[in-house]
Amino acid sequence: MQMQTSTLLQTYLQHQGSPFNDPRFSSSGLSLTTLPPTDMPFEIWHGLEDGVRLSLTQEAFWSFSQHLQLAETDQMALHPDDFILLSQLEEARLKAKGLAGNLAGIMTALDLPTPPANSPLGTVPLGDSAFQRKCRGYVIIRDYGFWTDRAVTFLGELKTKYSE
Amino acid sequence: MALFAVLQTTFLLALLPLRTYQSEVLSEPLPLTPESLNVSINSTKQCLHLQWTVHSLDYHQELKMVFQIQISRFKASNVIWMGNYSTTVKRNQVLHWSWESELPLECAMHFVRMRTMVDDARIPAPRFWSNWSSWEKADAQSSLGDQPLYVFPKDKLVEEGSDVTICYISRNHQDNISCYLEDELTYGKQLDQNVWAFELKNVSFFRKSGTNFYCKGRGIPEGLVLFVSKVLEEPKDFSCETRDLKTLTCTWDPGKDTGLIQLPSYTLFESFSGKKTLCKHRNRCDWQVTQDPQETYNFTLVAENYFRKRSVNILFNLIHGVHPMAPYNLFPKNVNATHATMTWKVYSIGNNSALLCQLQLLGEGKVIQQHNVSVRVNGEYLLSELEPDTDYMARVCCAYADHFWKWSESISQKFTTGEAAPSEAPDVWRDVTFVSGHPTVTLFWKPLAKVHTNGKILFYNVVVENLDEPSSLEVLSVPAPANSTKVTLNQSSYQIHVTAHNSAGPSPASTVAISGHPGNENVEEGRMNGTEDGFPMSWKPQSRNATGYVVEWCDGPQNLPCILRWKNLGPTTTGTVISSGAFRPGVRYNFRIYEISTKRMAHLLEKKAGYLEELDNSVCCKYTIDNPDEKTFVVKALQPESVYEFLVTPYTSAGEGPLDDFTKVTTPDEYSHILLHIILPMIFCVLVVMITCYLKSQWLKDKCYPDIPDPYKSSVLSLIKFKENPHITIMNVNDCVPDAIEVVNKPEGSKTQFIGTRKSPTETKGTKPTYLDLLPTEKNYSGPGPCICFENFTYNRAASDLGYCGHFPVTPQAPPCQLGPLTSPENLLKTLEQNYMNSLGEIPAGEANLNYVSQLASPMSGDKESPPTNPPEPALCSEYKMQMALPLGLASPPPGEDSSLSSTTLSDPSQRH
Repeated sequence: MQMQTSTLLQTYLQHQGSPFNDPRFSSSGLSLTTLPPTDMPFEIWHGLEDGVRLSLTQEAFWSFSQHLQLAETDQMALHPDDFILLSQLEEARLKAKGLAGNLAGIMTALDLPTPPANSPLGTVPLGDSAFQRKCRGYVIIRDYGFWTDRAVTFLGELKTKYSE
Repeated sequence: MALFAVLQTTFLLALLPLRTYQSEVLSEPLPLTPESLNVSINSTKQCLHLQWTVHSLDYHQELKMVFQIQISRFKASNVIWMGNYSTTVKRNQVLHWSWESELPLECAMHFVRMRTMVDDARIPAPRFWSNWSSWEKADAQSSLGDQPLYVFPKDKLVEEGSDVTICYISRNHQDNISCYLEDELTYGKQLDQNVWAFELKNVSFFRKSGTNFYCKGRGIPEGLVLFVSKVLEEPKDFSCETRDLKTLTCTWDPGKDTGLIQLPSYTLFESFSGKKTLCKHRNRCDWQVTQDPQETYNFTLVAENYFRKRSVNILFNLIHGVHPMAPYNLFPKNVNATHATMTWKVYSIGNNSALLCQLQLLGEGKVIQQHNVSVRVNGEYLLSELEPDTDYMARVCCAYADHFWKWSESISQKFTTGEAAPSEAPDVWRDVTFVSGHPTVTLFWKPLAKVHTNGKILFYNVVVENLDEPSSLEVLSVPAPANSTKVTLNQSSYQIHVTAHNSAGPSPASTVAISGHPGNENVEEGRMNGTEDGFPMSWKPQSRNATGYVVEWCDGPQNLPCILRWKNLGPTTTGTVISSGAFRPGVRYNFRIYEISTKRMAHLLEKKAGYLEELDNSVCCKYTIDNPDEKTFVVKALQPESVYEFLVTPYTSAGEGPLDDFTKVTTPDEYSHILLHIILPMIFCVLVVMITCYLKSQWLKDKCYPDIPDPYKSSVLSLIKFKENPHITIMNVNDCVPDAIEVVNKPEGSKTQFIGTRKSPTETKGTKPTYLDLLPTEKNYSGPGPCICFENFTYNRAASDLGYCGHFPVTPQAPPCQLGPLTSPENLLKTLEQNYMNSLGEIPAGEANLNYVSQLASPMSGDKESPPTNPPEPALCSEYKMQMALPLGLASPPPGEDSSLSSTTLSDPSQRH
């Protein structure tokens, strides 16, 4: 999943033109308020209870599934013939949604409260122009990669912890 | 009504001079000043939209007026555009007018004002401009947020080749902002303190998903996407047709793609009916024919995108543009050997109009028959004169019968005709041999040509009819593809009939007659010569009733069994040329010419023999071996490096036997044996020299480059043993750890004499060394310190144990061989002294030495607090050389003894140099 996320980011940037396809392109200042936060320090995240982390991860991937849908729609308008990019976005969206569903199942099994499944996505910033929508897609995929790394590590910890 | 109009005009004319008079007299402007001027911004179209009214009109009629408009940018005094707008105005009418700005409106504040003048023919001159309205401000910047950087317009759709102006607004003046078109740096001009504009001239198409223009400072990049459209082309090859008189299909070539995701629209207009339809495809459009058939259509195709509108027109007659659908269900029916009926169907056109269909019959890819058939629904045609057992293809296409315009697409179907009995009798010949007086007949026949087989030959029937016993009839069936059979007969006369059979029946019979007795074989053999074309021969007929002639021969007479060949000739023929691809030069061929009687009996007429090409000229030698028991024969006097062919054949009194294949032999080179006599001794000599060299190599090695002495095997050790010193060790060079290399500079022009004068360090102060550190050294280390003298002589172990080592100066020119053999302690000490004294010799001024300095061996590293009283001069440091430890007793004489200089140097650190 991490490999696919990395590939998706590469594919996405290559298709957006300059400056996105610049090998050194990075814009850490770009952010979307509607996306799950990525600024929580690792120590704090690691210090949270498993149930809380499960809940945050589940909410994050549910949110990403919706944001990836938005990015896919944006790219459909810009690159309607680019099946590779569109299929990778669709695959990522389905995986995010699937992971959110699986996490919700785990939380239910652990008697943890789960958020409502169909919480709608409100207005997402950076949608005024095509250039902004390119930026928006970049931020979504970049943060999705961050949360994927975090989720893989966290779930690995859980597996180790509960298999002992 | 007319009266009312006259009254109105009169009133108007009376009123206006009055107002003009008021204006001139009272110095007041005409009260036709535009009012309620409102300016709004349309960001998408980058337009300033103006709306206003003229309240001052006192009458209810329309009045033609001119509005002069001024637009300023950044400040009201900076007028960038002025123009007139003429229109007819009613009282209280809200007027609208738009102005498109090349500069994005967000990047600059705009001001608008206007004035008006009556421009109606009903109002006589003079005419006056009203006063200007007050400036109205259009400020798009006020609605912007607090972002540090904005780039405008947000997105832009432009046509290739046009110019675009882009601007940015930077809130932070300190930020150094660069702007790029894709990855190309773009330079702009500053319009205001925080506004820069970029004019992109003649923009070109970059990619379908747009061209990025972006600016970046220290923060997030901001930008826009330029969607560049290629110029919309006029549709080409616009034409229409109908396939069923119900639907019209118009097609065209749209030209190159505009390169945008938003495709241009294509609309089809028909002027007679006034109808139009939006086309679903960019190169095709369907048009429904109405119930009330319209025969002529005037079509206009309009291609349109954001920038352009292109149109083409055709006048189309429905009946003249019928292109029927391809027929279908084409099948062969009642196919036999020579006939086939083809059936097919067509799609009906209009009210069952007739179609003209073309049926083509193709054999081996070529059209061999073509028929036109009129068809309404079902088509049928009988094809005749077909060949049996032949593959054919039928192809049908149709056109509108009333007015031919275009054939439909064709449909095709393959079929094969049935078999018929072979049309020709097989070509049969016989070979008769007599065994114990009984004739044995071998019958040969040639396969029928394909045009005569009319199917696949399954077998051959051979009917043997005994003419002397009519009731005796023997029938043989020989399966195909055999081409011969053998029949044993008695001494009666026979007729043999051969027929070829396929599934449809037998061929006509071929008959040969056989006499029960040998014929006349005593015919003289004639000679003949072959030509390039074959063997030409002629004969004299013997009977006037001959039904034909047969020439018989063997293709490979030297091979057994003979491959019998024959050629049938007509009764009037008296000559022919026999040719065969199997004929070879140098082979004798025998031909027999038969005359065929009316009873199909063959009589030998003539014998002929000859060569296609005689090869006797190439036979250089011919030897006769008389002794039949002799099995070997030596041919002498042959040429070297030549190819010979040998053939041995037996002969009797009757002549030579058959010629078998020749055997090729190549004679060797004339000089090869001579070369062999020279090369072999040479190889032997070289080997002897090599063995001698090898044996002498050890001697040569000892003489030229003896082995480097091993310290463990040194003769010094024998001395050590002699003294019985228990501390014997050998120092390994690897034990030494290098620390620093010192580069010694000497001032140019100065020379230091050390010979015989033991100068103090202060006297040699001018030769301060420069150091190149390999490892970190002590901070307060002021001098080079004691150095290890790595040379191929003994090392003072005592000195080493004291944390000190001898510091031996050397001259670079001093060759190592000057040290001499170290075979005794005296020699060793002498050598050390000699080396030391040499090192004190004259050193060229300005010469730098690169010396090795060991920190580990330095007493300074372990005793920083007590630096040596006489620190050694860097020039005295030795170079890196091999060394070995020397027992203390050997290197250091007892104290108080009048020791030599070198021993003193080794034992007393304070006297080091």
